[in-house]
Amino acid sequence: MSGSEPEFNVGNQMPMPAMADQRQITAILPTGIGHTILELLSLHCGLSTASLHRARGVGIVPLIGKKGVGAQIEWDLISVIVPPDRADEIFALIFHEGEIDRPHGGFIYMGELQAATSFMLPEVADDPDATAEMEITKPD
Amino acid sequence: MSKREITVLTDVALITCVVQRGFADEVIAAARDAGAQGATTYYARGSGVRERLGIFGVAIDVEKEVINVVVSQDQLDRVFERMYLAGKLDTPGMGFIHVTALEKAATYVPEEVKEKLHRSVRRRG
Repeated sequence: MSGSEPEFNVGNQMPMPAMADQRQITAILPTGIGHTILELLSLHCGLSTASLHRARGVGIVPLIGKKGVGAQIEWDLISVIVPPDRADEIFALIFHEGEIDRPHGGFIYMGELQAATSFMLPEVADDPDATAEMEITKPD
Repeated sequence: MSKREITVLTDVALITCVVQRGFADEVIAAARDAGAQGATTYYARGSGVRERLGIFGVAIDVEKEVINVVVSQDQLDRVFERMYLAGKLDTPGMGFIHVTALEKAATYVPEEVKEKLHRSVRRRG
């Protein structure tokens, strides 16, 4: 969270805490890699502000020579909102783990947001039975 | 963290264009004609003006296509204008286009391109 935290007041409604200077990182990745990155962001970076959807990409596919120009491929599109002090770290992480630095590896970009609220997940009490059940049904 | 380097691209902007379903291909072709390297498209559901138009609203498709194009600042005005015209965005209900400034972007840059860039920087320096 950044130092400046403006509070938005819409009419008479309750004040909405909004954080300034947040960054939005968007990565266009080959199909299938998006889910791995989403998991990485959630489990290892503690970020719950990531979303994933599919998109149709139009670009240059040199593999097929001239015929490849204009070919359409399906891509994973990941978007994540991160605090400014972690932006470069997360940008580099997605770039390297998503293997964007190889031909046809995709694309990544980052922009500044004017305002964003935090996204908090509800507290879920630990249920030892549920955990045990999950371990039993876990695939090999 | 990995020690691999990232070739960061700056002075780039994201053009986002929302058009009715089926119109994206023309807009993308115009963007590429104007120099854009690529684009991504996905479907979205729109709402707003269609409801206000009552019975005439049937002419406006509720399903939209959202086009994302990242371009350099040099190309921005040209690509933006061509996309606007190709999407006939001056017609009410046809769509919407906007530009977002980006801090940085990165992708695979071939060695020969990197070398060319280094050479031009050395020449200027």
